[in-house]
Amino acid sequence: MRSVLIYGDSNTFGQTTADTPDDRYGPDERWPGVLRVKLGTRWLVIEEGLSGRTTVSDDPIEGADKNGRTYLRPCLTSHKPLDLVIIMLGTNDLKARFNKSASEIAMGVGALVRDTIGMRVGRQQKVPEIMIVSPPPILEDLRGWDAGFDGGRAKSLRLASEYERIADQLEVHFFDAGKVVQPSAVDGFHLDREGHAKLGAAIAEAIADIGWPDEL
Amino acid sequence: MPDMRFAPPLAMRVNDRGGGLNQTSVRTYNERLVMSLLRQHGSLSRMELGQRSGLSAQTVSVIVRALERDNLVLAGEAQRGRVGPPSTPIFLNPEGAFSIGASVAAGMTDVTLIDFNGAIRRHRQIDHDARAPGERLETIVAAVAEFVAVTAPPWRDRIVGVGVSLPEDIDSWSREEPAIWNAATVEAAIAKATDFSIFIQNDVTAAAGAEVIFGVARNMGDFAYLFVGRSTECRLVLNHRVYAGSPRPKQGRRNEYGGSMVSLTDLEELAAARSAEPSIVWRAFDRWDELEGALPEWIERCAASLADSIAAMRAFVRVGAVVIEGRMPRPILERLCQATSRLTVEERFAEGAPKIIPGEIGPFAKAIGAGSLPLHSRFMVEQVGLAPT
Repeated sequence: MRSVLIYGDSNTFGQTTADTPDDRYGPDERWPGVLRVKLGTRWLVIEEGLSGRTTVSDDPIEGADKNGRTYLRPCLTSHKPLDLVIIMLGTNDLKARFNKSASEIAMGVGALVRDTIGMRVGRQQKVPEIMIVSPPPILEDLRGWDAGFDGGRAKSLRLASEYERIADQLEVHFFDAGKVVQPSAVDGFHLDREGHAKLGAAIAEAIADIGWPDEL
Repeated sequence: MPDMRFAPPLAMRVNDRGGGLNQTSVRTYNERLVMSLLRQHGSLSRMELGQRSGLSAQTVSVIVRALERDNLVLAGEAQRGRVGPPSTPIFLNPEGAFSIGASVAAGMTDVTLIDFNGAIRRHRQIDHDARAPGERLETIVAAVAEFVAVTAPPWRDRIVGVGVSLPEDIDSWSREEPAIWNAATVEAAIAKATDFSIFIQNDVTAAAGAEVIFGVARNMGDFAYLFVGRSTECRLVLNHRVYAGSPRPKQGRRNEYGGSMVSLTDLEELAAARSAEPSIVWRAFDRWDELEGALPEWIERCAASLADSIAAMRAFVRVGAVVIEGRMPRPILERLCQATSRLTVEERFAEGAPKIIPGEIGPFAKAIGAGSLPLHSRFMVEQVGLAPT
């Protein structure tokens, strides 16, 4: 059985667009679940989505646990061997308190990719396939969250091309989620059920396009 | 000093994804290898590209993205596999690059605009029998410049060069004005009119090359190539390379080289003798109904001379296939191939006869071959060198 680990934030966790913090889409509704159904029984889909997760920063308000870099190592190690690691982060780095440009956010993703390469959590201690997914740009109207994301929309529009540059440089797979989904208008940065369904299906195709020989 | 491992990545060669095409960038060897594999196989999934190139999945992913950004490849509709989600075939974008190919002959020049798959998008036949040699060259140069000018963006921005194919006896045409017609003068004249890189090659060699790159021979390692035109000439292709042989001595007449094969010049004479309009030979490419009075005899004679040559060649080198192309309508080429095949199989080889295959490039193969030169130089590896499939 092949295994894919998805390292993401609230949009991987399945945070609903409703304004209730603990609401989560069901296991078959959130995109990792959609992906699991699409990929079939030959794949183990490991969901590692945390609301508020950043690429490489401790969050002074939400806490150090949100730092995507410190948790990456124990996370990947506890799930190895892995065939594919998908990293979809960066939306939380748009928060004004981190004061990061789009290219610096992309460099954070690049740091996670470098760490993943160095850990050799693939089969036979090889480097697994790695896919960077650029998150869809956030909307203009964030329904009350605007202050926290001041200037975020403009930066988020540049993430895809910055991420692709990093993916080219580090020679890893890349997928632009903004090409298939956009956040729900309800809050401006979370995906609705339809968005999760579309993203799961699109990522399933992107995984298939990598090509996987029958034998492990 | 910052830790250089975390230096910002280099800018992408293309202006992000705004569609700004940067054809002047040099494609890496691996990119050209991927495009050559797609050319050879039509379309491949990324996994197949990885298996055939030996590149890792992630490297193939990066290369395909770069080629997609420059419009050189396209992703097709996802194909459903046996299990799991469908995977996407990658193929060359026919409109990814263009080239101008001209084939010069004694009586006429064909100027073409060809696309990335070698298909003709624009064609003009320039007759120049009556013109002085200097005038002919000017007409050709003007046509090349005009072809560039009338091609609208974005195609125009994707024209990568000009190829010209010349007949072997070009030096002998203009003995009175030796400076006018040779590879150097043609190149210099075109260079004055355009900024493109210019490629010059022998016309039959170019036509055989077009068959290797775009045509029926994409998956054939070794074959013999016969082109039936004003004269009929042969090339040997070994391991995907066209072998042109040593150049003939200059100033000779072609009949002095022995074994000269029946050509369209003979058809022209035969048609005139049967009071058909002989110029149809050079002007019509769909049908030759008016020549039917002369065709059966010409086909038999031509086929016999081709079969003789094939038999002679087989005494030295055994190839499995002979590709025949000619400046003639497809039905005539089919008849010629059938007649040659019959003679080859029935009268010369009891078994093990080479397969006689009509060319796929068409009557303007010499011009398409010329146009293939800039595309090959820019986008392909010398030879894919993989086992034929």
